[in-house]
Amino acid sequence: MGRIARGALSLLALLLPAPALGQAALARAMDMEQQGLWGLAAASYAAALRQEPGNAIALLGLERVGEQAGWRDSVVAYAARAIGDDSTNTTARAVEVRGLRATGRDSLAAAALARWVAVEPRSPMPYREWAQLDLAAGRAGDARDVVALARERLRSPTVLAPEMARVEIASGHWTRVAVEWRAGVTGEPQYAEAAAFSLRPAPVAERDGVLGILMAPGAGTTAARRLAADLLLGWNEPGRAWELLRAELPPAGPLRVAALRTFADRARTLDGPGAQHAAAEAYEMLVGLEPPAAAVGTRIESARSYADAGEAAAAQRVLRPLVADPLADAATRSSAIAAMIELQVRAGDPAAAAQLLDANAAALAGTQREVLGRSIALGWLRRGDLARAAAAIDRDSSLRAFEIRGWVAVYRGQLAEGGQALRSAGAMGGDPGAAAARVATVTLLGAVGRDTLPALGAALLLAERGDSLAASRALVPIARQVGGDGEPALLSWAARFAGAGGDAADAEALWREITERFPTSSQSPAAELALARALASRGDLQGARDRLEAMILAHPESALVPEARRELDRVRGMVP
Amino acid sequence: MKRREFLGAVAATGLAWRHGRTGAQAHGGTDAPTHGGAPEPPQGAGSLLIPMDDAQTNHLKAYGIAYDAVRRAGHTEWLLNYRGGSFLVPDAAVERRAATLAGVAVESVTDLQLVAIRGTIEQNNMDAIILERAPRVAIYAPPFAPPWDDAVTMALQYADIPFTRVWDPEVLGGRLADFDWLHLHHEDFTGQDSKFYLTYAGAAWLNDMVQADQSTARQLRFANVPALKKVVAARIRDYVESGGFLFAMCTATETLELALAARDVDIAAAFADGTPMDPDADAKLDWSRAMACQNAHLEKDPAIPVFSDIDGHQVNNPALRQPLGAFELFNFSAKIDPVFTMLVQCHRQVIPDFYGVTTSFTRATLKSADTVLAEEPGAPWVKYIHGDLGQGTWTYLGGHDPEDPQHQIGAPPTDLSLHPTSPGYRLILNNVLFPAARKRELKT
Repeated sequence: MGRIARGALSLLALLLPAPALGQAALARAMDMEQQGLWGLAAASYAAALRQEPGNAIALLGLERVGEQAGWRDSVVAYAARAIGDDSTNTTARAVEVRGLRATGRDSLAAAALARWVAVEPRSPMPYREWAQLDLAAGRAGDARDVVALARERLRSPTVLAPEMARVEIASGHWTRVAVEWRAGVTGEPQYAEAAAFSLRPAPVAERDGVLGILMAPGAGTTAARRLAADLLLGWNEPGRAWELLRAELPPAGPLRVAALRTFADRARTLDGPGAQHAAAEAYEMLVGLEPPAAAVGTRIESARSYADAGEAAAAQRVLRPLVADPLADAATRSSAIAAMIELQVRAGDPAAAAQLLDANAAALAGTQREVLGRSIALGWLRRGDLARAAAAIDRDSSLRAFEIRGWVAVYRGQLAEGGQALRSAGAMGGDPGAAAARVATVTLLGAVGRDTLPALGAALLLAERGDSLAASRALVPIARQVGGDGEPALLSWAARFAGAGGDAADAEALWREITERFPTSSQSPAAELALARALASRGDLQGARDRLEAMILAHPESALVPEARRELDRVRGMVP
Repeated sequence: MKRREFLGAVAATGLAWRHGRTGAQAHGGTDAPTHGGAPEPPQGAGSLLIPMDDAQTNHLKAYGIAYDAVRRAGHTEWLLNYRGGSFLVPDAAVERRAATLAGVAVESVTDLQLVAIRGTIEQNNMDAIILERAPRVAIYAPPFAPPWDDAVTMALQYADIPFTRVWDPEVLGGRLADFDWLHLHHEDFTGQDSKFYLTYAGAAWLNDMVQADQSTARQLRFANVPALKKVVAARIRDYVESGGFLFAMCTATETLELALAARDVDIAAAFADGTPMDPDADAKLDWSRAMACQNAHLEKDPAIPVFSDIDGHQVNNPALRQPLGAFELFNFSAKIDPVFTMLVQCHRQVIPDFYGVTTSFTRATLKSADTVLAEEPGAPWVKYIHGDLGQGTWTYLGGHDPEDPQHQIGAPPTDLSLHPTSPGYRLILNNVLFPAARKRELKT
């Protein structure tokens, strides 16, 4: 910086009022801090404090960068100056105590604390500061003493509850932690999130005790029970959580909306119909509280949650008002119609879905119509109606439609054509489960090696329609007829279908046949593993062990070997 | 093999191969590791190296393979500090099979490659130790203890190393003489059931434990559990003194020391024996009876599940609980201090710490003859200690479960198939194999 520039700045400093200079220094300090220039940041914070000794932002900034910049001692001096100007400056008091503790001057820190207490005898702040410093230093016992002292002097058995909760966590006494947090959230509801965060790791064996404390009748019931609901959700008990929350919802207003939204969004991320049902009800309740524009998305989410909970009728009930509303705007209607069509497909009614699509085609964009058409086609496949499945996508030229045509061809027994279409759809695209099914089917068709085989298509269609046992029984004679590499491949599919259909004995017999008749086939390792599991599940641990050992030794390079080793550890009782 | 034999059998290790050395300048490593599935050479044509560095895919089961090789062939070599403390076993079909089944990486070693390995060992801080007799292993654990509650039991089961459970009746009946190696389950030898009576009051598992202990004491004609445990502790000390190898973890370490030192003083609270602790107990403790510790101070409060200041971490004392850090294994001279070196063989030098009712041992309470095997640098405590008593040795490792650092009661058991390369569990298994070694007399 040149002499002229420096001179100009000095002149500016004389002309500007002190607070403005302080603000400029503060802005510079924060900029320096952001760049990691600790020394320059500290100097600028100090400059700001010289202009405004009590500026809390500058004091805290200097405290932050002080250690890295080697200014730790100076922090205390600036804090003392601020206190000199205003003895009730809480930030400065806290910075002074922290600074003295950080530099190991515990007795001076204690004296500073005593001065603070003398100035603000009814404030919990000094005690809180000291307890938190003790906790940070791992001195939970000292922190406990501080809290006890505060409670005695302030004549409040619940003051500093969050700090006491941390003390109790250190000792592993979870019910005492719950007692403290109950008091904490009762007095200061903003602690609810911190309370949930700290109680969530409670071991399973301790949870009933924690809930018992939070749900006990008495003062602070509502806040504590909401906390219990939050914990129950985190512990994957969505039904109990929802029941509890519903009874303790805040009165109508933003707090009620926020509570419902938070709960529903969290429950939606959990697996299982119980969680989805709870989410659906919470969203549905929210619909009536939100502005109409926001309520559309919430209503659709509610319907989807009901559908994921397996409650198709409820899902459609929630959506119907939107679909039927002639006054709804175009975007709202198209979203509602699309959601309704998806729900009808999932409910196994592609005819109704197709009817709805036809009736509302004009309200939907072209790509949206195609997406829904593909959903309906898949719905027809699951119903076994190949002609309608093909018709639903007859004007769709997308890759996914190509895949559906592949399935239609396979199920018609046109294996070469179907296999080619599935190959063209690629090994990776779309839903991972669907991709895996494509790859497995292409592999099977390769092993079978026939261009057409209507019986095989019909058997696979049985499985698509959900009749696994019938598919299994249909596949076995086809396997015998096909022979070659196709036979073990088809038998392994038959075994899987039998297992999925609940016929464990049939499945076991088929796996056994593969291991005995086709020991060198690519299906053999999977067959050995499945057979071992079947044996173990009916108590034949030695038989399972023999199978697993044989599999690992015969197929050491198989990708299934790590799984087999883990299974072997289990059947030998080496792991829980 | 008892320690007297162990130390008495001089010079065999290492010399065997030194005599056979050709002096040829061999270069190059061994084959890439396989899971025992490498093409099998003609029987007797070579050896199998079980690497224990990061090339190993299952360090824990590798100990089981080595143990099995010792049991079958009566001869296995432990190559201390060579590739993480590898094992050299005869190249036999049975070992390859076991390695393949266990997922243990092995490498075929030709005679020429072996010469190169031995050259490396000779020129570095390494040594070859012959393991010649599979130790007979006993675990001191109550009959009602669940199988997944003790790290050593889990490690032995996972590594497929056979063991026998013994309990107070067997100890008092003299059965310990039948075993080379004894592990103490995390037992409380002060007879106070870990002082959990208040913290876990009413818990079914605690009630069962207390009743079983009291029933055992009555059955063996002792007035109370503390009285029984003092005698059991003394028998365990006798076992070590007469040549046994003792390994203890968690509470067993600290309370064994206290029970030995407190032979003639009441250190148990009233809830355990009907009378309060002797108010002058600290001063009356006879530390000459203890094996590892001295000058410790008892925790007088019966409500705090802590025994003394032997433990540095004080996990159950809110006022004194210390956070977990990491501990560092010492690097000993393999050729001069092979025993210590065996105990610290690992593919990691620094290991995350883990809590137990006794997590660590404060330096101030250790006897001067103790050897520290692992410590947390700069901390006033150490993690892993070892020492001699009479003709035997004791080794203490603080903490409960190396793969469950917090180890809260009620937590699910550790599944070691998810931790096959656990460095902490390796320390446990080092101890199991160490009594199998035949070795020269220590030089330090």
